[in-house]
Amino acid sequence: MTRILYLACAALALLAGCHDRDLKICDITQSDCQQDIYYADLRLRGDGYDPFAGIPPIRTISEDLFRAQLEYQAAVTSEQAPQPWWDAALLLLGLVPATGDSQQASIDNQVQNTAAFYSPATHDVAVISHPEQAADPLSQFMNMSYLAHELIHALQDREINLNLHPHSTDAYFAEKAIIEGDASLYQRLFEYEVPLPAGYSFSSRDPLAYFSAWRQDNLSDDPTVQDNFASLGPPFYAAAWLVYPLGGVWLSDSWDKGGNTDVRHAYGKAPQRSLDYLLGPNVAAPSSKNIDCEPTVLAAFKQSDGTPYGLDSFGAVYFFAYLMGWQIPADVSLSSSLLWRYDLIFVYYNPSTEKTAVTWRIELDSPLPTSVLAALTTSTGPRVVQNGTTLLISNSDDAPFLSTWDPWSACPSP
Amino acid sequence: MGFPLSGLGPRLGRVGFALLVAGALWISRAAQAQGPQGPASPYPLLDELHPAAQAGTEPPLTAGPDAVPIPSAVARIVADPSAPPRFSAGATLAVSRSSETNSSLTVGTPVLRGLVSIRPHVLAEIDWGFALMLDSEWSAFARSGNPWAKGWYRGERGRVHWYAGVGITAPLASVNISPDGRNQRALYDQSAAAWGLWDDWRWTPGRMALPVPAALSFAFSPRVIATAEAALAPVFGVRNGASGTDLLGQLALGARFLLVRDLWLCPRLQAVLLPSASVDQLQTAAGLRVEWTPRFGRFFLGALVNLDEPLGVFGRGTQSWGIHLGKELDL
Repeated sequence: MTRILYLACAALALLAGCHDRDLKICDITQSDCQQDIYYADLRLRGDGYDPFAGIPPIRTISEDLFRAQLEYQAAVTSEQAPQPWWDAALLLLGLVPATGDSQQASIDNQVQNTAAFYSPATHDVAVISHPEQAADPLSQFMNMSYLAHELIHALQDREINLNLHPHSTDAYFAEKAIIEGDASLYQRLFEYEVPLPAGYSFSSRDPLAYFSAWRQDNLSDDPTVQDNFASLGPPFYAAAWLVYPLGGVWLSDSWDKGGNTDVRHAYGKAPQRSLDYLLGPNVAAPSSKNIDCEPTVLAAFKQSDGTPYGLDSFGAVYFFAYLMGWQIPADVSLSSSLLWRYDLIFVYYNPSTEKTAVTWRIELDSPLPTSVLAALTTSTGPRVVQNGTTLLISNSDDAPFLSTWDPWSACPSP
Repeated sequence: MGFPLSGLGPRLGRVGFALLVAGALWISRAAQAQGPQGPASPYPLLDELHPAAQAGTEPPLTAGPDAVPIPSAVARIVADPSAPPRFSAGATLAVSRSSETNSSLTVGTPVLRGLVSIRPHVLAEIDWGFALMLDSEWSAFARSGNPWAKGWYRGERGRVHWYAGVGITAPLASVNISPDGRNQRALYDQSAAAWGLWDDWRWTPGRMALPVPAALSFAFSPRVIATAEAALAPVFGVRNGASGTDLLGQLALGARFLLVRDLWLCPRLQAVLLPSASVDQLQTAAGLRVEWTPRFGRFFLGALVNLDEPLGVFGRGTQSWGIHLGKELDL
């Protein structure tokens, strides 16, 4: 029997000597490469293995095909539920550029900035092949990194609901931030597992430092910073990309404190407002304010049931985007947006004239600095009024209507 | 990622250790109340040679082991196969612990078992596993596995003893798609990993199975017994978004060596055929168990190490292994 034990030990030692679990740069179109990345994700998350779940199909598509898909989806959506008032409202607030339509701007922005995506509907991953990416080791490394990120989404899809139905844009941002922050954290940890191509090195191997630097770059207006806010597209679309660094900071801080255990619990205690992500972890979440008064507007601008055509809460991040859109310095935009405590945006539309009126009420913790208010008050931009800690922004492409419109006149002064 | 045996107590701490001790005490007290009657035989009761064969040459093997594989049930030889105890009960606890950067995760999977002998060769059994998790934030979770009811027919011919059965699981294991979904999924996946995916239908959420197990043993001598166990199970997705039909298969080969009186060493190799969606189609594992089989019951302690991908300690796997403890009793 002793011989048998010796033989068993020798076999195990041999097996141990043969194993190879080091990741190498590989082509993500190959199944071996995909499996390596999948297993690396599983190891990094530490949750075990579900034998009934496999790797989702992975396909590489061109920018042109991706654009065609987005345009098709937009056309279908537009046909099913056209909302021209939202395009006009975003334009009136300066959140999208005056030239071109906002939908096309969104598509351009996505084509330019999307590396890969996981579809919860079809349970597959598409990697976007960008022409500027040559088939060099660095591109392969980056593709592996993107695939690691998207495979995390595939794993998330078995645990949480990725088909988000939030009640506001602010809540949507918060939900996206935790999901993307989670995937981005493990993507970063995955990158540390892969040997970089010759000549490249990580500036830091601390995920929190990495996401903090990313956050700082994305919130910057410094033209010398490559990934500054303006580089992400028009303000409305640029703000949406902030889910990655802001969520990444949140989740990497969680990972720093308690590893995978803390990250597993992160969803249960995730913030519901973009403000908290903008403030960052370890900052006490200030309480929200309420808005319990509706603006007054001509009946012709309301729907038949008397409700506005659009009603939303944009949150602190989109307030930051608004301020950046009106050229408020980045540091002032950030400090001002952190004063946000609640907001509601009302969009009205007159179908007979196809004119839109929008009013955005933002409740602040304290009034904006006079200099900010002055910069926001332009002859061509929205009308901006500050009453105490309430900021009232209004605009319409119906000039005669706007000249007489005082949307908040019926509401008590703050 | 391993589980140092010396760290078992401190890491299991309040939950796992209390469960283990309480379970052992309860079972031992019950055993004493029953008195040292015939050896126990829950689960595939792979009988050893009759003790009389030892007379005069070996210490009397009044309570020898059976050939039940390490991660599955506890079991004992039936000294007189024609008159097995009418009721048997058993409990097994598998524990695994993952130690990672900044955190750790301990999973305990107690499986409780009851067996009744309907006729000398026909037995009915039910077992029910539970998944318990304690993480480094001192958060504890517990979820039900899939209860498994089965019937056995047993037979023997010379030195060969065999069992064949059929069973069905109830799909009580589930994962809620919710902020807590990852914890729940991890709980089941880690539970299955602690058993090397053996009898995986116990832990797979949203699915039910119709396992068809069989086992046999061959006694080379009173000191050396070879064992084999296999099962096939169609598995159906029935709830919580699980869908489709898959096939799970498993095969284990093992042996039992009598070291000294009442003390057995039981090595084992097992392979599990995984569903078609799995990245790898086979999960192999090796186990080693020490069993003590006194008159008043059967105790064991063992370890199971997953060898290859997806869970194995070698290759790209997730490096999972488990410690197994058990106690069983006849009533």
